[in-house]
Amino acid sequence: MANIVTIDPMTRIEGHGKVTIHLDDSGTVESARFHVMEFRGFEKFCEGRMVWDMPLITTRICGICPTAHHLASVKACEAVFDVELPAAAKKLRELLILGSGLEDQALHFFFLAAPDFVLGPDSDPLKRNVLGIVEANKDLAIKAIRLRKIGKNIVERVGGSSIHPVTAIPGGMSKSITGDDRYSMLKDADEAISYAELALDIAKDLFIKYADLAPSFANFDSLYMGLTKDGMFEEYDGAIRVVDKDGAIVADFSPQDYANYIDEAVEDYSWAKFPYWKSGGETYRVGPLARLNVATNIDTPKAKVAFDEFKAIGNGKPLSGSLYYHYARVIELLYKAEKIKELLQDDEIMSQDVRVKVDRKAGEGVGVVEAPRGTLIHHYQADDFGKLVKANLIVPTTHNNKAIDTAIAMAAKDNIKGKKLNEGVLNLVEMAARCYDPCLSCATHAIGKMPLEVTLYSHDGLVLDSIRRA
Amino acid sequence: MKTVATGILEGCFGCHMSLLDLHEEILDVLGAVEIVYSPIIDTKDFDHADIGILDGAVATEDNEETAKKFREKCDCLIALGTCSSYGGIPGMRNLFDLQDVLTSVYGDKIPSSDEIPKHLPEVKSLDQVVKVDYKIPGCPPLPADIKNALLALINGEEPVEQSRGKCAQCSRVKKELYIQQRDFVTDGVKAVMELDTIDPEKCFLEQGIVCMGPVTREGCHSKCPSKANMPCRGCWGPTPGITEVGAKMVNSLASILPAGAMMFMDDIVGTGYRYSMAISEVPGRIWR
Amino acid sequence: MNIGLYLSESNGEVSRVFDVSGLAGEYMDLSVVRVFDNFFPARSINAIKADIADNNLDAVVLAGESPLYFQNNREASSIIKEIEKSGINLNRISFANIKEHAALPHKTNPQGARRKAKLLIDVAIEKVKTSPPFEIIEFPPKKRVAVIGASLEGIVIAERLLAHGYKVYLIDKDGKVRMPEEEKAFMRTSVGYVLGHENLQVFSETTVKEVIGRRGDFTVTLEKNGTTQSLPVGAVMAATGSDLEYTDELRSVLYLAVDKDGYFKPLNRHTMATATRRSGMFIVPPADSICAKVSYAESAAMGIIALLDKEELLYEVPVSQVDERLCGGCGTCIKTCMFKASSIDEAKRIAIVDAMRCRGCGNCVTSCPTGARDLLANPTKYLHSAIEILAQLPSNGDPKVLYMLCEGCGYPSLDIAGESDTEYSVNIMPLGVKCGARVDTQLILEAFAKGFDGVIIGKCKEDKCQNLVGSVDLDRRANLFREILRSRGIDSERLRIVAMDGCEDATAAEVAETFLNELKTMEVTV
Repeated sequence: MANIVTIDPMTRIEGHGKVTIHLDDSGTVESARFHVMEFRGFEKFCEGRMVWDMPLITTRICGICPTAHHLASVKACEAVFDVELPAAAKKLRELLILGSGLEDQALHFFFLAAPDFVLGPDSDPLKRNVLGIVEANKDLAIKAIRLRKIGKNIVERVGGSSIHPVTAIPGGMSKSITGDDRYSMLKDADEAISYAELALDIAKDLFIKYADLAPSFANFDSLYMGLTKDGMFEEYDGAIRVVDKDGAIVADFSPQDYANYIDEAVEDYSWAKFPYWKSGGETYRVGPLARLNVATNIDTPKAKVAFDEFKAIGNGKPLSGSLYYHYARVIELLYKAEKIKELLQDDEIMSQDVRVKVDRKAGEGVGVVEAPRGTLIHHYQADDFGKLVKANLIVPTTHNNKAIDTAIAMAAKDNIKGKKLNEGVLNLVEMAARCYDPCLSCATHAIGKMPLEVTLYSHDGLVLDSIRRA
Repeated sequence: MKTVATGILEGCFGCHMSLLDLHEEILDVLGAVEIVYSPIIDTKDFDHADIGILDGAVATEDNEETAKKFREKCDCLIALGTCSSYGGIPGMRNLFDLQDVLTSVYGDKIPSSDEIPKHLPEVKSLDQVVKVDYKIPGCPPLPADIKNALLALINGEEPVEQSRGKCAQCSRVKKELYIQQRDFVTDGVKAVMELDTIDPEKCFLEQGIVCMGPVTREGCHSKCPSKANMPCRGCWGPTPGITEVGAKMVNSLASILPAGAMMFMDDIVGTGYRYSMAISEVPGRIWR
Repeated sequence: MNIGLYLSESNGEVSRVFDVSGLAGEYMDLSVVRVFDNFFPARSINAIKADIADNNLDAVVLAGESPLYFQNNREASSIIKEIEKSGINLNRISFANIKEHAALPHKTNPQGARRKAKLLIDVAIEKVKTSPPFEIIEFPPKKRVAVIGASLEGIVIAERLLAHGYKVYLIDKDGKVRMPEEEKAFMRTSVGYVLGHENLQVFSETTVKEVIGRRGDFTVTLEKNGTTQSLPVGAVMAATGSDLEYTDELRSVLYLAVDKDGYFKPLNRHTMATATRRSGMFIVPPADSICAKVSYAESAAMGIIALLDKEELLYEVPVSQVDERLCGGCGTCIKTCMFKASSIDEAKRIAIVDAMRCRGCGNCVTSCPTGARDLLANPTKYLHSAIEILAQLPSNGDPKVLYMLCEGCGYPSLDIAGESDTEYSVNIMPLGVKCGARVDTQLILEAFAKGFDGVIIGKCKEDKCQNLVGSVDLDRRANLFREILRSRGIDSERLRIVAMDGCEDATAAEVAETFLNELKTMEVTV
């Protein structure tokens, strides 16, 4: 038996997560594994449900990004029933996904990443959480809370419920918004933009401060996947684009054809599957970094400036260092804040024409949106009565499963030397995972850091060393 | 200062997110208690807490251990959310044999490493595993309700239980249903998407839409029917008077909606038992 | 709770099959246990009355004859009245049918019969433990009677009642006395007396729209030429006799049961031919001869006088309140109730029950989606415990069947099976319910969960249901419910619903036996 380092629990990230790092006899890292600790079987127990109820059931996959599931699901239903929805409904859905993205990425950046940046990565772990931020910089903490609240207000007013929205139904939206709704959302828009700019400034400072670490940390080649509209950054609509490490387009395909490009492997050590690029078997990445890597342009003014600066770092080529996920995330945050304002200023958002009547029929369809953590695919097949016969769901953290494994292994290989552990090792391994904000970690990181225990075992199972934080 | 421990079993983390949705008010709560164990802080273990809060259903051996640990160490244990209270959506797994579910997803390569926990044959609610002092149902519970329950317990008071049927809080108008005349309130059963227009004022049942409001516990202020123009799907779980939500739904709707139409036009099991399969008297497939 | 258990050997009919005293020995923890060779001699009832006083009994369990026997037979029903008079609430008297449902049909399997009898007694004890007492109200009965049908019988009854000093409303849908010429000839004087009486009011060409209330206190609503009128009466007499058409018209207004030929069904064809299950409502059976008609009419008039002559009437209200902690005012019960007994307090969004209209069928209890309703005579808690108790029957390798029997047809039919020596499997465990409408699908799940292999429900035929829609609602619920059974991997054929003609034959036993045999061949897993 090889020597194994266990990081357990990496909990509450839409479930249980755990890391084991395998060492050879000389104490060098052989491999690292990221274990997803549970499995709920949505695909199975959704069989027999009415397909139009799926947008209401699949939100419960994740309490952090339910909106993404809600919309991917309703898009899949619309593909099943072959229906076009009114323009205003599409705009409301865009508003909904932007609002949810705003609060989600605000949560991640300010509540999870900020403790490291504001308080410093070497600060007292006991205080390195949002409570510590409140103590150290109450103003920033209040801004973070406000930004989340602004996003939640949008989700509640457009989606009907701030967690687990319900209003997207096949054919459109169950309700339009009122003048009061629009005013309430619009009056906060500028405030949101200013907080997003603040986040961008903090991120830029970070990358200056860690200029030597950022490019090399957990940096590995992969493919990148994300939605674009002919290259334009996109979250709700469009086609899936995949680019390689040099930015060359590998494929541009309709979401309906995803199965031709992606396959899933099963590993004994995780309840999550491991998708891979079908033709070459490569690892691909999704999420903020991947989205900016596949996009050639972004269509809001302030975000466009930041996007160009970002692209300049790699001379137009994709950035592959895992830490750049944080950078990409705040650029998206700014985009969302700006785009929300733009949509709300468009009078069509008030249209009462938000749905068309849809009749049930048999069919098959795929719905794809960009969730905060990456491309989210829902694929349904329904019978004549509209009952779901088959479902396949690929969630962002699953897409990134192989990438997270790789990132963790790199961080471990670079830092675990010999048989002695220290807090720094924990931090670095954790940081590698956190870049991806795995929907396993977004939850854990809700306010502070995940509880983390690393145990180093010898080949005969003896505990060589163990460190517990906090 | 009272000590509080929070933990998560199998769920979506939405209940903890709902706590965060207190926004500025979260600071009041955090100021009134000492959190000794939680995903939001970094402690790995705890010896004792006055109040323990668990969200999520009990689905794995790990979950079961966590539940027992919390019961042992907490004076008062709260089941937070519908998963914890009634099994919630994860409980729908009980409609199928665990092995079938695994096979359908993993084929013949079902992960079996010792490094990942085993699933229980049936998903359970928290109180099917350990004694629970209070349930705060909801998917997720409203932020204010979590706060009020916590503050009540901190002050040594009983949290207020909301136990009536949800129609009590609904703004929609019932006309047909209040007329003492034996007949169906509608001539067909439809999906919301099949309506020409979704009447925002009229009771959904009277529009031919299966609404779970009657068989669901109040507490959400009827937000889907009243504000989102969508029928209730029962996410607050049953009232304390019943355990078989799907069976009760059938009993109730059979005399007010055309039963024959309902049989074909809707998913009786998945709608009826969506949030409470785990607490059914007949858990899962008994003829194994 | 102080419970007295009384077992009857039924003059050897039960004790020939198993040792009743031995069975009694298993209940020594109760306040009083006594074995009689027969319930009906005065010494038996005197002993019970003495026990009630001496031991402060709260409840009495009678293990012997069918509960229906105590309703449908004069001497037996007087025992119940005596027990009530001694201070026991009617809902705290329960029956274990160890004669018709255990001893008689299982004569060749005495051990099985005894085991079953034990469980039936356990269920009866559970019944009194879980049933809240009926509220008892006391009121002076209205000394007025509505006689519907100006037939020979109607005239005779009116004559007797008028002579006794009562006010009579004679109602008929037609404009003339409904008698053939030869009858008229005999009845001329009576007709003259009646029609000329100052205390008689005639409503011709008038239809009865609604009758609500309880014995001693009914309100009859009439309609003539589009105008309606309400009359307060103490008793209602349906003098339709052999007129099938008129009977059918009145059936759905009076909510009275009819027999298989379509005539009103008496409590007991032989000894209580003019009384019905709706106390305070009387009928006359069809008859050919004038002599027979007159004697039926006299018997009905006597029954009415016996009821209304009292200064004060006692009435046990069989209705439960709505649990305000649970009711959300969804309206299901309002729509479900055939008798318009449910309504809504819109301000509070809570359902209200009108005790004068409620028939105690339990349809609202079954339909209530929050569990806010309960039926005092069949509390939900009792039915669940009863199923749990009945499921304790030790396995003998054959399937175990729960047999839910509606009071109207299923239960009497199984009684007849016992009386007529029809043998059936001891694994068929009977449980009486008020009506098919009281069969909550939760109970069916409970039965499967507790180990029954099949559930069969004996109900009335659709057009014979005394609660009019109980039979229909049961079918509708069951049809939807089968999907739920299948979802649990239970073959939906394991639930069977059979409609039968109650008091006519032993169909109940045959269909259950057939069902049990089919269960034997059913796959265990779907």
